[in-house]
Amino acid sequence: MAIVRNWELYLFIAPAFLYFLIFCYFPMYGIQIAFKNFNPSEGFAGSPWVGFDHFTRFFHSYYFWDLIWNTLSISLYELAVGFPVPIILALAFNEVRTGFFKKMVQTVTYAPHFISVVVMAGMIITFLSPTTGIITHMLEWIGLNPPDFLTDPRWFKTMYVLSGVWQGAGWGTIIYLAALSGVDPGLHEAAIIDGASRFQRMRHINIPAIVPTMTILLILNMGSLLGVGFEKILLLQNPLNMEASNVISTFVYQSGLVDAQYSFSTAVGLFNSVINATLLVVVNQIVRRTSENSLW
Amino acid sequence: MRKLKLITHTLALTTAFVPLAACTPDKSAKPEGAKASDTAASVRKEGFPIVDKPITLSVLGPDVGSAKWNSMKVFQEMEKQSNVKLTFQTIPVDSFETKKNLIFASGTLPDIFYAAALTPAEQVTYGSQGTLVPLEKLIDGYAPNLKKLLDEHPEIRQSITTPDGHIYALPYIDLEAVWYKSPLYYNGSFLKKLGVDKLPETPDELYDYLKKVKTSDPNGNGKADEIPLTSTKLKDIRVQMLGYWGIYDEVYYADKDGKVHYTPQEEGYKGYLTFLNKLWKDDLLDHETFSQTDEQKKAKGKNHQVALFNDWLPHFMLGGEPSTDNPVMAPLKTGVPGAPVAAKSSGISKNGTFAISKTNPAPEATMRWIDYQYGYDGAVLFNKGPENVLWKYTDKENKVKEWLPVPDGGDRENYRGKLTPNYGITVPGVSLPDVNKGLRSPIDEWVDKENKEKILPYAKVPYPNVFLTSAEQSEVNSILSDLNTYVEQMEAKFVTGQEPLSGWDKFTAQLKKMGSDKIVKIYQDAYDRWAQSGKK
Repeated sequence: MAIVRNWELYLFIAPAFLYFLIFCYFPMYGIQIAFKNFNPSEGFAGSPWVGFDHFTRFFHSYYFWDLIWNTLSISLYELAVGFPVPIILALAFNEVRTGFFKKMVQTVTYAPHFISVVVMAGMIITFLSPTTGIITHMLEWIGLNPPDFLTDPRWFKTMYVLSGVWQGAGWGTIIYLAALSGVDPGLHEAAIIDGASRFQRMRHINIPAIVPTMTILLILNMGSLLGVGFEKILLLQNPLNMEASNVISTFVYQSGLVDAQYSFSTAVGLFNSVINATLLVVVNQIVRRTSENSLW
Repeated sequence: MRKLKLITHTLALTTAFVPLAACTPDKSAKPEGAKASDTAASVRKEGFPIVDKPITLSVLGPDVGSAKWNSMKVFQEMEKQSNVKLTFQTIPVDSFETKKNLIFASGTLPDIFYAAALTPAEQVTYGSQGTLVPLEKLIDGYAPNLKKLLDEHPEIRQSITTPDGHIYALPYIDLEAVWYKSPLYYNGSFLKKLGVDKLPETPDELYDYLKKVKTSDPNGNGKADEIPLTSTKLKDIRVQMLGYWGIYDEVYYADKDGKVHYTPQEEGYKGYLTFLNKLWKDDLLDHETFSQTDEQKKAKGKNHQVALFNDWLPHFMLGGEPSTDNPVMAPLKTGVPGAPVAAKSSGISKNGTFAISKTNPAPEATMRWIDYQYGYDGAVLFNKGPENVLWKYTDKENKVKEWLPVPDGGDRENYRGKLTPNYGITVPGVSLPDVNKGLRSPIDEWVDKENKEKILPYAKVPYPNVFLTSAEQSEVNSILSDLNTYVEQMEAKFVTGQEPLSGWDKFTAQLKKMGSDKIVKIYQDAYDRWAQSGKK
């Protein structure tokens, strides 16, 4: 019996297994309320079935296409800008030789990761304030005419993505630096003897070395394409930028927890999750066909 | 493992409501009026203690963070007198709303909901499901103070009775209340500096005054940094300003003839938008209106930059000592027939402040316990704290009191927050004029005078406390969730000029398409039912 023979290994995996079972799989039976008119006192089982009513309501909602478009475009924008930055940073760090300078820059870039979202949003609002914001003033000093970052819907996505890069890029380099440290120094030594420049070594040794990591991270990012985190958006949202900042997750929060329309918001959330899961599978398939790296 | 985590992660949003899963609340029969509990016989009909043998009840309430409820003197005093011992579960007031929903869904109910802000929808839902105990028989038998209030003011009883004829929650009653939302104040030092002896009476005069503020440096610092009018997301000036065009409330209201209106599709709303747009264009309305926080707004007030602003009292915004130099803004005359108007508080809190759950073993004793707060002695205790801590009687016969020095030398209000839960939240009880006898400050008198001159002549309650049936409620919820967002967004665009006012017809047509007429109909029906029940 495999289980008896390897019982130590099963013991190791048991806590994680139970964690997912209890906190992630068991609760999924609550998804059924997306197809019901949930009423707390009747419970999950007792609430009446309504079929796809909540989904229909969402698809016909005035904000449906806005929500889809905003969620998608913010995610893609974030992916396009946020994905390469840590790679470039990591390659650059890897080239810096002086220990002190390297450590300092690294610390400075990943420190923002530890700032909580609430504080982060407060900082963004303060820095970008049209009258007192430091960034606004700096732009004025160098002769630019700064837009109303906070209230102009055209600037919302940029503001969101760039602040995300500021907060996350340094932290994101860690995994790439780990991959880079695994590169066989012999390859570099050989290249140096062959007269390869730094840039050539980066291009032909370092980048190929982190490609598998990049692919996996890309697939993972695709899986959460419609899963834009809602806290920062919610905190930066105001009626003037709403047309650019209204996304599925804030909509779910608003209708679910604030307006207590549990069934409706579960339906919206479920719709979101199904699309994410589908995207994940599709991208994984594509990657598996075109390269050897894939999640499964 | 990674795969597993991934899929589950993507489902995180849906599973946000998981805690609901753990519970299978029992389906109890609908209430047919409260049956007497086992402990009913041992409850005294009057006087203290309420019960001879101590009983223990659990309480749920919102926590404002000034002190733990079990360390509050008023609860200790009550326990000593009544023999009703309470155990408290408090939740920070900011997250109380969401946590309350989960507690209702979880099935482990407290015996008492105290200051719990039960919305009309919750009262109807949880009342009709039997989670909350109907209170009307208990009021008749065990709440002489409250019964007296309800008999003297039948409109209150009418407003707290749900469509099925039961009362599930008790309100806070303030018969003197005037303000629906906080008023607008002029900065008195600006008025003086600019030599204004007659306050603006029409939108044009207000415009001229604000323009003058902008250009003549009334704060005297040599910089043109004055902000004539400021607001956060318009929510703090909207209701007052709408009144100048004859509108009582920002979403829906009943006019003097009992006809219900949905505000954003009214002609008066357009007048309001037009005026604010004019102020915005000339930089008289703060351009940070839609992005600033309340703290940022207050900082401008303390920085002597603001000429016209909203707050409960002027010194909250301007800083410094309480002062009577900053006059309340009187409603402006726009020439619209029937206008200006002002929204008046209904005198009872919209949200149920007190309810008894079906798990409460002693509803009769609980009702007697809470009834004390609807009488003079209990109102004083819960509002001012126990005698001889912050105040003492100078003439007990006539209920005249005076303040005592604050025991720790700090702020009196802060100290009060440690004695009683009646601080920053709406607690059950009643506000009686006698409670404050001898304790009133010149500011209190001044506010009364200003209200009497400027607000009361135009004031009416926008819409009575009326319950919707649960079907109506869910329809309203589903319509308003889109509609409110749309209106908020369009209002901002109209005011800032991103959308020209010529787009008004398109806007109202869109509102109709999104169901605004249904809102009118539902609230009209509810209003008619309410008016009808008053005639019985």
